[in-house]
Amino acid sequence: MHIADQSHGNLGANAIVGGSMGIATGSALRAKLAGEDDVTVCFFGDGATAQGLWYEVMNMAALWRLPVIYACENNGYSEYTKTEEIAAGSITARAEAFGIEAHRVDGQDVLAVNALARDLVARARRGEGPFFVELETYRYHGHHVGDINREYYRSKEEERDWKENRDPILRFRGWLVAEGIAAEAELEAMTAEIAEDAAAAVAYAEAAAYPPAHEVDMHVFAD
Amino acid sequence: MREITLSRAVNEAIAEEMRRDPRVFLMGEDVAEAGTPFKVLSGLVEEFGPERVLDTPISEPGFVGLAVGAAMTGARPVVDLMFGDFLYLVMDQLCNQAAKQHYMSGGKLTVPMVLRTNLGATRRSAAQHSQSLQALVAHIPGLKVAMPSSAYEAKGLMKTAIRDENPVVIFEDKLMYQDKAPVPEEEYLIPFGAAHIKRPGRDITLIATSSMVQVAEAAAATLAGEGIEAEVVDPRTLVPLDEATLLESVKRTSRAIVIDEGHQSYGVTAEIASRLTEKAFYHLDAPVVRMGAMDVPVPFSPALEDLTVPTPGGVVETARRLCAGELIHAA
Repeated sequence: MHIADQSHGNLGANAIVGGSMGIATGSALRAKLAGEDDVTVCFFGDGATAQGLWYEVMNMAALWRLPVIYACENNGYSEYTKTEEIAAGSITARAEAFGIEAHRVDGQDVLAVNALARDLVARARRGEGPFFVELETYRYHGHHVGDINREYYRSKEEERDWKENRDPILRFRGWLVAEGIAAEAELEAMTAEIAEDAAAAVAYAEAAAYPPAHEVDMHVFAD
Repeated sequence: MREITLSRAVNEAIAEEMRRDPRVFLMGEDVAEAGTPFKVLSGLVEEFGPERVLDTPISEPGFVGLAVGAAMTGARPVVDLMFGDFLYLVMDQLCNQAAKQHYMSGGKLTVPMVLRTNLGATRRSAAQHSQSLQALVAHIPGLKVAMPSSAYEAKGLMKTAIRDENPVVIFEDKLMYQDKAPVPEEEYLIPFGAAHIKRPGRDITLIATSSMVQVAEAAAATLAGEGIEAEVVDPRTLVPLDEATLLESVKRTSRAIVIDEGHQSYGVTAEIASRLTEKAFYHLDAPVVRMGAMDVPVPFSPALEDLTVPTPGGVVETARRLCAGELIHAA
């Protein structure tokens, strides 16, 4: 949840739904004011489209033609509630109301997402932004780690269908093999390597010491 | 020394910092050609252009959010929040976002932004344009809070705020914009966390913030005529708070009144009074008394509004009774 790594341009995930929309748009404002050519991408879910902040910052992004791309990962659920129960009308139309070019794409299609993203980033860099993208996708797990029994809001069959038939990694893998770009054996080896890296990262984290008590008030203020 | 208004002092501070550092920019409602309703920022858009003096829509959470993001990525925004009452609108951006980025990123991200806003009742502006909400933000770890009490402080604290690496909220009293004070021509900064003894005295300490310093000084002048020498201390910043200077003064005088225009309950006066009681108890000859605004929404009626804020007369009366050893609050 609280992952940030500015050295890779990641300004941080946010525990307030929609909380980073201002930050992302401010990053784009800074790029424009400073004459820098970076593009900021703001990721959020369909649930966050219910936050008023988004409409305020889209208005300013459109007024000032900021290099920001709003990427809404619509996974069909706003916490424990179906999106159709919380979202009136069309989500893309909301961006369009501000004169923002909006796209809807199959978020499970790696190639389609990649092609659209490349195009929009390049255009935003040229000053043609902002843009909005709605990526149709799914959330395999619960809203939070304790959200285990989910049958009161969606069926196990639905989850199974998305995992088995619509998974973006499996679909991309099939394409790689069909196109002769990678062999099954190579992909198996890669999958094993990734699993090993993940297991090692978990083991490292579990073995790591908790921070010493004197760090409790470190970094409240910057020097 | 020349005397300039508080309004002019703020304008000069921002202009000087914008000349010194191209990363500094100004944004908010009607900050450009209008120069804000109080005309504090007049002339800046002519010098720095509409990109660095940016008029925003009436979207306080939105533009404060933009400032947080701009600050996190290398700019140094000064955000104008037209009335302190609008702090309620921006609490998530200020308290959940700006205040916590540095801590939550293990010190990697910083948010060097200034939110300049105002406080102060008795302008006949009613309950939603008159509040003094400094306690709300002083409560939040990660925010610094400055409370200039004159044009001199307004300029020096603003320049320090703009150079600070942290989010700073600076409250100007909207009734003081036309008040003049001596302000040097040459550059100066006022450090945060350094209280200022405005008037020395031996009998009682009056700790006062922002325009309440004027109230305390007026009270001290009256008390001097009665043989009571009041010391007036201006903390200048609530966060960081120069506790040492306040304690040193109270240990000398053995009595204290804390005066702030925020609501009295759970407020700035309560915090300072409790610190004095905890740390200087055995030096005290009388209970430390809080004088804040009444715990009512600020009324529109002038007759009622004037009753809600601390006044020199009220401070004089309380100081007199404390120095005479009278019980302020009978058990």
